[in-house]
Amino acid sequence: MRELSYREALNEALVQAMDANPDVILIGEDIGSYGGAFGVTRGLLDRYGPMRVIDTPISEAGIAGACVGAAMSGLRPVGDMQFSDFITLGMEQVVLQGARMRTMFAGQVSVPLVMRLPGGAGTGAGAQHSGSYENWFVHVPGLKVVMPASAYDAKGLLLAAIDDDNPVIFCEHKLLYNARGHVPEDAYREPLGVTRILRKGRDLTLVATSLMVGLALEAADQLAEEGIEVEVIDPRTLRPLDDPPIIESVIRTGRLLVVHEAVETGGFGGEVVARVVASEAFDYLDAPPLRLAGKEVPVPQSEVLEAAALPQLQDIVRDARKLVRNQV
Amino acid sequence: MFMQNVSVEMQPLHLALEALGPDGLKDSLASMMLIRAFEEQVDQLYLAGRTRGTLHLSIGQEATNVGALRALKSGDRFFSHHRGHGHALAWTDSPQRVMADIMGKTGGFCDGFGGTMHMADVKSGFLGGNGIVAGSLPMSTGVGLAIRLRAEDAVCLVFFGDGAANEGAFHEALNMASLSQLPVIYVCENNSYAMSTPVNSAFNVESIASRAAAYGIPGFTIDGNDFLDVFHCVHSAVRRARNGDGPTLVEALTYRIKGHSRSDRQAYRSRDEVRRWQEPDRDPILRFASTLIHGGILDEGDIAALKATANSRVDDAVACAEAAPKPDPSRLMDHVYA
Amino acid sequence: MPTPVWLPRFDTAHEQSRILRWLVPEGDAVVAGDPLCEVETDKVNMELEAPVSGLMGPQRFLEGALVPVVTAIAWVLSKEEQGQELPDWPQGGDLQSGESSEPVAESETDEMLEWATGEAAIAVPRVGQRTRATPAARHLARIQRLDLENLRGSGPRGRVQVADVQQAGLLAGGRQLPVILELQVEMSAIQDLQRMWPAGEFALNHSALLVFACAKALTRHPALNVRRQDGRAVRHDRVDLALIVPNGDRQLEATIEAADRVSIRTLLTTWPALLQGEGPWLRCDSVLWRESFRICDLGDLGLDRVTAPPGEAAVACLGAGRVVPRNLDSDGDLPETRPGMALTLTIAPGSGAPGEIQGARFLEDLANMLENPLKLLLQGGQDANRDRQ
Repeated sequence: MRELSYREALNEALVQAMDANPDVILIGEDIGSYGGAFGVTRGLLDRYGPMRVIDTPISEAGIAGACVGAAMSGLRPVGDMQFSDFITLGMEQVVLQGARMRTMFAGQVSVPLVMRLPGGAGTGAGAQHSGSYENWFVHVPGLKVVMPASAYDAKGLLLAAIDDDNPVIFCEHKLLYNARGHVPEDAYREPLGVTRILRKGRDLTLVATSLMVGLALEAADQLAEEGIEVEVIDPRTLRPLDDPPIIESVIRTGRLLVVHEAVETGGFGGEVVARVVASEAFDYLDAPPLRLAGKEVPVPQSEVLEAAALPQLQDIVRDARKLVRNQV
Repeated sequence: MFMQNVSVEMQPLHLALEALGPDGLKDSLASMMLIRAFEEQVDQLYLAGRTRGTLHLSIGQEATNVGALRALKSGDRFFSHHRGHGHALAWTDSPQRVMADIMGKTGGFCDGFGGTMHMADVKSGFLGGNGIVAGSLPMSTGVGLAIRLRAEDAVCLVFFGDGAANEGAFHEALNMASLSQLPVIYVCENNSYAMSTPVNSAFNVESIASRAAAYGIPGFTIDGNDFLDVFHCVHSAVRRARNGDGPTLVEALTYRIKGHSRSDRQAYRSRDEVRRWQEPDRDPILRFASTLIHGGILDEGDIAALKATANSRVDDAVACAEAAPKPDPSRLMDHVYA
Repeated sequence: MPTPVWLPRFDTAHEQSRILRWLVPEGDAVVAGDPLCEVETDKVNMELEAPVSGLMGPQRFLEGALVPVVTAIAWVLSKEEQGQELPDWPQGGDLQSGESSEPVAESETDEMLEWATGEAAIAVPRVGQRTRATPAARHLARIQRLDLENLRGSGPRGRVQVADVQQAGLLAGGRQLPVILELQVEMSAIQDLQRMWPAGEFALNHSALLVFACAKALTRHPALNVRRQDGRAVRHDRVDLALIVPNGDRQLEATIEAADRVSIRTLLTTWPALLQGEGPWLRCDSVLWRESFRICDLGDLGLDRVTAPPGEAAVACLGAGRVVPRNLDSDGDLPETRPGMALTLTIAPGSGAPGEIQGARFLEDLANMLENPLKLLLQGGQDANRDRQ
């Protein structure tokens, strides 16, 4: 079984997409000879040339708008925001133009773009380079939001996102770039909007996204030693959310914990909890559903402060244990 | 006033006649008259409570609307802005569809989803109006990239107002397009006011066109109420773009006769100032009609006939749009995703 | 010096216990060794005994409170000490802390004490307040007709959990798990319809309606439409219904094959023949009968409930009782009742049956259909039309 890093998997997805379809282009800052801030586009300028790998000035609104305009014109641009935080500067083009255009113009146009957002904390980069903004986009009809947690999903979901005829916000995590995993060589697609159950368990449904998926699986291993069987679920696509597997899981377990790195208030966990509570699963809940999320603070720089701001493995274990032991 | 960079060559009528022919010029005047009649009618409909939302009228800017778009050909694309009825009419010549969109009816371009600011006829190259000031500018870069990548014989024109030239997006878009020498023509309709803010309170440069120097592209300030001047300048810019010589910034000086939108009380300007712009030496339609008469292309009778046609087409459009069915609410979610 | 009553550590893994019940009110005389308080541990409920003879003094915790081990929970006073100012509650030592378990963090202990004492007076449910219970526990209690007010909750602050309701169901009926579920179906709508029913080729028979609705409900709750095989549940790919219908001194035992494909009109017109054991889709196959979901029409026998699960490969048995006057639950939140005509549905799951909640949902669905017979008939008519097309 061949293993690649998350970074290499993304790079391979871009290569396979660009080889297969001349309409796929890349637009972003320092994506050319520099290879992208995190090395994802390494080698692509040499391979495809400056007409398809468009290294731009520092102009996030310009990049986002160029992606929208190119997508309207039938290309399949993949934009790179360098850091997820910088999407704030391109928000208008993504949200007010790209996401709304198809409905405004009654379906006359599609906007098949992918916007890559390298996000997440844990690097000590401080408050302006550590954000997790996925839920801003989850709130926007017209967008799809994808959040791969493994090298396998990074490749399969990126290829599917490029194929998709809608604007897709592709949320990567900086701490995952070196994470290795099995990645097949063929250009496989992981369909958008399909939740994956990573581990079966009868005692607790644990929904996690991005970096938290790995921690959730580790927590499940630890808890299994105590006899607590945790079902770990990765939605992978946050919008549109494939919620039936989550609801069915809670019907089986009666307990729900959602873990993500973005802050709790207005976060994705609230959406998951709301959907479960408003579903058939309500009658099966035997404990209040819990969210475990980033603290309500801009991510600080110092490693102790940063760690305190983010959900840690022991926090997941603690909350899961409390839920299963009826201490919540 | 910003008239230093005016690049009007001699005998503009002769040049336009060569490019468009006498019928083309006559059609252009008809189009401008249609816009005027349409906008005046829409204004009344709004006052009478027969349309909803808001309105940004093109009255006074007809020469820029029509002159710039006549410089494009089939296969070219353009973006409009929030004051876009004139562009939609000049491009599609379909007052029924524009009226249906304004009234939120079916039978227009966008079946009740778009409205006054969000019309588009994408297949024809009309890539849409925009409710966000400067919103179209970054997108035009992407269209330019697509044209270049596919080596199409096409250009992308983008209209925006003087207000948009102070948005960051303007800077990012022009810089990027210049770096890649994209086939984009930037037409700034400087109608003297960004909502209530007069141009001289918002710019400390002699002209908006002078900003072109910052991006290493040509910039021209022209008389936006002179059809021939607009046509000629944009036509040259389009030719440069087609030849791979990159983008051009055209600043067309014009005047917004009506308020910014229907809620504008216009406390920031005098009635006299507005009247001054409606006089025969400034009004774009009267000027162009007079040019065509003096050039021997039309006579007074033709002008009266054109005006009557415009009025009756607008009346038909209103009747047609009012009779059109409202959109079906069950189709609400139809277009959110492809 | 008053004598404290301690909640001790019962074993090394024992970290906390819930005060279930005070057995002696404050002020009563106690003899050393008398049980004073019932507490719950992980394994078994324990009684804490009076350390000395005297009077039961102030009780530190309310019932339902969760208390860390090695905590003083009450005083026993001598006659002289009664009414006098008491010393502070003594601190427990930490020498017994378990080796194999994590110590309770200090802040956590403080937190527990805080809500268990001061705040608990507000937090622990008292008479007249709504009982704390999880949605799943409420649902199960509703189905089992158990009064939540009388249940003791094992969750935080006395919250009633599913396990508590299951336990209570066992105690109340002395029944074996899985619990037999019961639901009253109001029959007034069917009876109204029967009164208006035109004389003609067939009568509106509620048993036939029940069979039809049951087949429909099973298609929606496939977990109940299973048979047991080698200790496992195997899903049927269609709905067969095994009937036990008393008919005079005989009893019909036959199976309606593919009952989900029989239209309501067919069922109603052929019902009299069916009672005689005739019908194109009626099978007298003992294997099929044993393996199918079973319906017992008990009303004619003067019975209301099935009391035992099916002994065979069938996974559940539905009992339909008499239509008799009953006090029915009001729809509101309050425990009020109103008179009405009702039929009792019971479901007795055999071993290998799905959980109570799935059974309960099936029953509710079924009852809902029977309480809206017109809708059922109309849908049945549509089904028949579709069949013909």
